[in-house]
Amino acid sequence: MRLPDLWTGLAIVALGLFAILQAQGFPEPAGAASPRLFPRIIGAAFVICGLAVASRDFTRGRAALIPPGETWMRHPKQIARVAFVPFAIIAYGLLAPIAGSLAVSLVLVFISALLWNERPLGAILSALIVCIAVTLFFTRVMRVPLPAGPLDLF
Amino acid sequence: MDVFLSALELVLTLEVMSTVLLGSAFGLFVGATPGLSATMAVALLVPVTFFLSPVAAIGAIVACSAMSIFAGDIPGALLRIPGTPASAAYMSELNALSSRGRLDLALGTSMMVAVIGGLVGTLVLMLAAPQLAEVALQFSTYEYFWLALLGLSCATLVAGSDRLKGTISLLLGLFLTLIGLDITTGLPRYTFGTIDLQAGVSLIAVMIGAFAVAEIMRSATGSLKSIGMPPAAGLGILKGQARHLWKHKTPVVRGSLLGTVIGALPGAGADIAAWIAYAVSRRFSKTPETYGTGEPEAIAGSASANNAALSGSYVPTLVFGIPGDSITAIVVGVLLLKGIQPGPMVFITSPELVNAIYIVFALANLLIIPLGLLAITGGRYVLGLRAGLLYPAILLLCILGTFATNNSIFDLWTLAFIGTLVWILEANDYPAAPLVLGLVLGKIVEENFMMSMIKADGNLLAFFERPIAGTLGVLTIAVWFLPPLIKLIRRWRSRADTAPTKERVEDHV
Repeated sequence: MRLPDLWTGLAIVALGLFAILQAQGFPEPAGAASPRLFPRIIGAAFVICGLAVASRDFTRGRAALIPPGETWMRHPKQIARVAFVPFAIIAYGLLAPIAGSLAVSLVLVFISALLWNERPLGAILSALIVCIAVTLFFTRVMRVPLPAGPLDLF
Repeated sequence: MDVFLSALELVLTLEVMSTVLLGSAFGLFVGATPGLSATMAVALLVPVTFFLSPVAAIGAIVACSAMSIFAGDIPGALLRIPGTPASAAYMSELNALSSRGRLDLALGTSMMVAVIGGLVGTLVLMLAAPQLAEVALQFSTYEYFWLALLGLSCATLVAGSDRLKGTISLLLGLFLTLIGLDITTGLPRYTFGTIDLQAGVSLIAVMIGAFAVAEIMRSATGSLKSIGMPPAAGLGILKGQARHLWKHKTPVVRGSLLGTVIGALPGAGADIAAWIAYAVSRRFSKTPETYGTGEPEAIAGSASANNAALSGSYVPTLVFGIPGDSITAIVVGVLLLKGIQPGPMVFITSPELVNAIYIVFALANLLIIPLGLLAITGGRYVLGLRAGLLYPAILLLCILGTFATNNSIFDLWTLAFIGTLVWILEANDYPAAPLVLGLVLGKIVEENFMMSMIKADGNLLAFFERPIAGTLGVLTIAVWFLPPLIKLIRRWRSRADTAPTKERVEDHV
């Protein structure tokens, strides 16, 4: 996702200002060891570097404000494939404690495989093999208590 | 000798040997798969290492990274696609040689010089690390502060094409270390009342997010062209190798030593080592005109450097606790999670661990021959693997691996956030490696800075009073200000050169 330097630079400046302002609220004990010191240094460095990056686009005028279009953004399936990655992680975190790790993994891997142009039958088979193998590895070999869910298969 | 025997005892266990073998197999698979990097392989291994002994954990990482860097040459030779960035420098040589019907020579040379490079690097690590550790024992918080800062500053120099953006990426990593309880006072910072954030941001979630999730997202934006089954290679690659290696002994030794030195520099990893070694090999070649047309000498000079760099990067990691590249940044993280603080004291408190690392390095590099042969024979099947089977499985490994380390759902939010953030950052030329280096070294920098400030009662000049600290301080400041200063002087000079020309043109008119 290509963005103009002005955007990313100003976002960094905003983060720097946030870091400095938040640091003002940290309690300050007597002596040189202040918990505010390092955050202020990092925050100030963010502001300086962010402004330097943003300034690269200052002379470019209006064109600098518009993000350049990318080929993948014209294809809904590719957008869905990209968006599904963070979505799958969040979905697992929300649903696995309720429905169980294996059931949620199966659905997520199946959808993911379809988005990566796998045929439905191939997606089902790969989801079954991958999810059962990975779940067995984590629960039996590494002894990790994954959320079991109502079925409690492994 | 007793220490060495104890180390050997630590390595020759079923747990260590099996994890080294499994780590190697995993490394070969990831390295031979185009688009997946050695760092990603190591990041995916981290959750597994969490449940292993320190020697087994390091063994798995060393074997995995050494194998994946070598395996990156396989798709380079067969398809002209580098398996890992470390193979990109000499990929055209590998492929040109294969196109001339000498696939055996291309892969045979790359495999054998990878072993030699790795072993030379290990030897240098064994000889240099204990000597440097003795010097490092004299270091105080001032020296450690400057050394960590110098490492971080160098990382921004070589991490990408844009130094400013590399610095911002590093600052982001340092900012992430601020989240949680303050080291010196124990007061919460940037936690917003969230208990999960009090222990800080999960290092494993950040590493997997930055190196694996972001990579999946980047691949998701690309087109899914089927690669098809490449040509086969087999055991014949070993035929005549001894003669070829003897013929190219100088480039191999030069590449191995150069790779080790470059690897030991903070921030410079196997890929930079391979590019520099390729350029140096061409510079000293008697037939530089043959470079680019499938020259075995070029492969010998540069394929030895990337594996040597891997061993070299462990010198600053073990001696100072300062990682040499992104892979050793992960190693430092793993050691810290295991309660081991890398640094000169490790050589005194756990000499058997240090010796075990040397043995594991030698073992992993020797294993490249039998396992590499298997990978070369079976690599064509890995290359034919469809993205629809590969990436969903990697995503599941990322999710379960992150969750497994702390059994924490909160770590999954970190994983999703960091993965997306790094994907956006990388698309805008902000490199990921300085962020992870900043996160690993941030605590060391702040802790040593605060302790030094307390000792000096806020007097900043004290940071330059000790000879080594002063030298390191001046070096760090030079790394910050010298490159922009040189740039500025060059700009002035070019303006001064063009001004008289303009005047002459105007006079003529």
